[in-house]
Amino acid sequence: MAEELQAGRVPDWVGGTAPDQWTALVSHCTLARNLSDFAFPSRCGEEERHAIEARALDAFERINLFGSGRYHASAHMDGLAWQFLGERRIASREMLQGPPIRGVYLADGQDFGIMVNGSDHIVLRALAGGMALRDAWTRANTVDDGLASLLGFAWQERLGYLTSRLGMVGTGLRASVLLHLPAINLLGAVEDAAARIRHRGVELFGVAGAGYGATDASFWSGDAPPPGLPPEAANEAPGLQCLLTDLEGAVCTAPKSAVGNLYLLVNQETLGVSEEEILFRVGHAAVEISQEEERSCALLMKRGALDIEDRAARAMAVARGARLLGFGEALELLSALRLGAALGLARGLSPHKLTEALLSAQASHLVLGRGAGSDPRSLAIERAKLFRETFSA
Amino acid sequence: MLCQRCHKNPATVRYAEVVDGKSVHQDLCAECLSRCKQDLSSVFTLGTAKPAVRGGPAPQRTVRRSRRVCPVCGTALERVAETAEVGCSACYTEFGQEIESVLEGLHRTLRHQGKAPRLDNSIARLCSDLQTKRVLLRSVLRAEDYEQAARLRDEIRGLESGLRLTEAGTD
Repeated sequence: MAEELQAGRVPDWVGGTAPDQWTALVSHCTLARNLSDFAFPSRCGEEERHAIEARALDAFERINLFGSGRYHASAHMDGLAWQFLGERRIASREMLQGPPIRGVYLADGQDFGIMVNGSDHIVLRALAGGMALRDAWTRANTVDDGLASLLGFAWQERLGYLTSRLGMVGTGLRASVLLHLPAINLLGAVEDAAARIRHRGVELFGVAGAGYGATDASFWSGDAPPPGLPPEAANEAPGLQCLLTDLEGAVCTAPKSAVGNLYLLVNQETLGVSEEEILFRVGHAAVEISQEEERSCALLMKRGALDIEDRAARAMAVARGARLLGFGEALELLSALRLGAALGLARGLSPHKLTEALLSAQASHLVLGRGAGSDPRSLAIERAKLFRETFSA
Repeated sequence: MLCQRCHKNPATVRYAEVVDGKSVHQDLCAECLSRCKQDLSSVFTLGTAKPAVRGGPAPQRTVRRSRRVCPVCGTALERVAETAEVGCSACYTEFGQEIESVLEGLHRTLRHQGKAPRLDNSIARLCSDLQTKRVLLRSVLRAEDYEQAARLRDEIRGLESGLRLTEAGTD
């Protein structure tokens, strides 16, 4: 399974991040489409799902997608493989536990995927490193045009593309940017930033983590969780220590509950606005928030550069020396290192390296990519080893 | 669009309230909306006049629950209103008015402004129809529904000859 999914390969979009782009990690464009002559997946029987999958695969073949990627059918995938595709930001959350006869086309570069029989019949997802919505959109749009000529998508002149969720009808497009905003968060200004862009139909959500903080419930005796870990960590599912994706681009939560200072900027309206306008609105808001993050960084440096440097240096020391590392702690370390590096206080780090470490620290990456056991303690040991290797001088 | 209060469920309603003289809008899911209403009613309990003061007991209000379902996919209108999710393309026509009222809460305008699918490739459409019918034929044969299978076989023959003619026309 690890070979089929190319678990050891770094997705192309990670390398595509500009060396000075510390705030934006990745841009996503997601397009939801349905075939006009079938009920939507939630109301489809097994035979219909087979027919939809066969038609989709035939269309993929005709537009030559299999020259640069392959289809992973649910019949040949276990939970870990689904989680891996979720961690790679290709398969959204509902694909992980959907009904049978579903699958994902994954491009060789792992920066493009198509979900079949998920929330909608066809969901295209393109990824681009950093703030590059236009690049992601161009790729998603090209494949969408190719498929539209073959598949006959459900479409009305008044309402546009018909989707299973009323929140996606119209363009069926979710454009989002994953942002790292530690300085705005430290200054307690995230809610204000979110409020400033809301009226433009763009929302700033916190990114939710699954299995956040879990190190090893069984290792710590007694009912109380280990010091420094949230109480719920003791009850977390051991396998799910990752950042999953959704149609929006990430599984979202309230800004105050964001993990690792990670936030998702995403369009909320899909009807009555064109694709170009959506890309402009989200892109413009992303630039504005990035500039605000830069101003907040400058303010933090003025107030206490030594504190930020201390935080980054401590994070580096833990990354180089830890023997057990929970997912939540790993996210916090990566955030401190990213902030330190962005301000020139931590050397030898690039956005590319930190994003790669963020992907690799997730549970199924450790299991499939590095052969770790799937229990929380084995994951914590392997994650600490990964950090020592990545950040050793 | 996600609910701006719980950030989990899809927002189905745009909720407005006046705070310090300013109108504040929030997009909420059904669950958070009912919670908001409860909060509001608990705030106003003391200030609300008793039914007797207002002129006798208030008339008994019966909540009408719609039992309409989509004839194509069987999705109930009530479920569409609750989840903001539909079962098939036909739901959009069947529940047109009700869906538009939900859409009004989610989007600013109800007129599509974006791209349209390119459907000008007649050969490709014939091919995909053919592929679908072939898969369906296999499944109805497995289910031993020979009447349906005969109908599909005729349709496939018709499509095959149509495809041959179209391809000959384009050569």
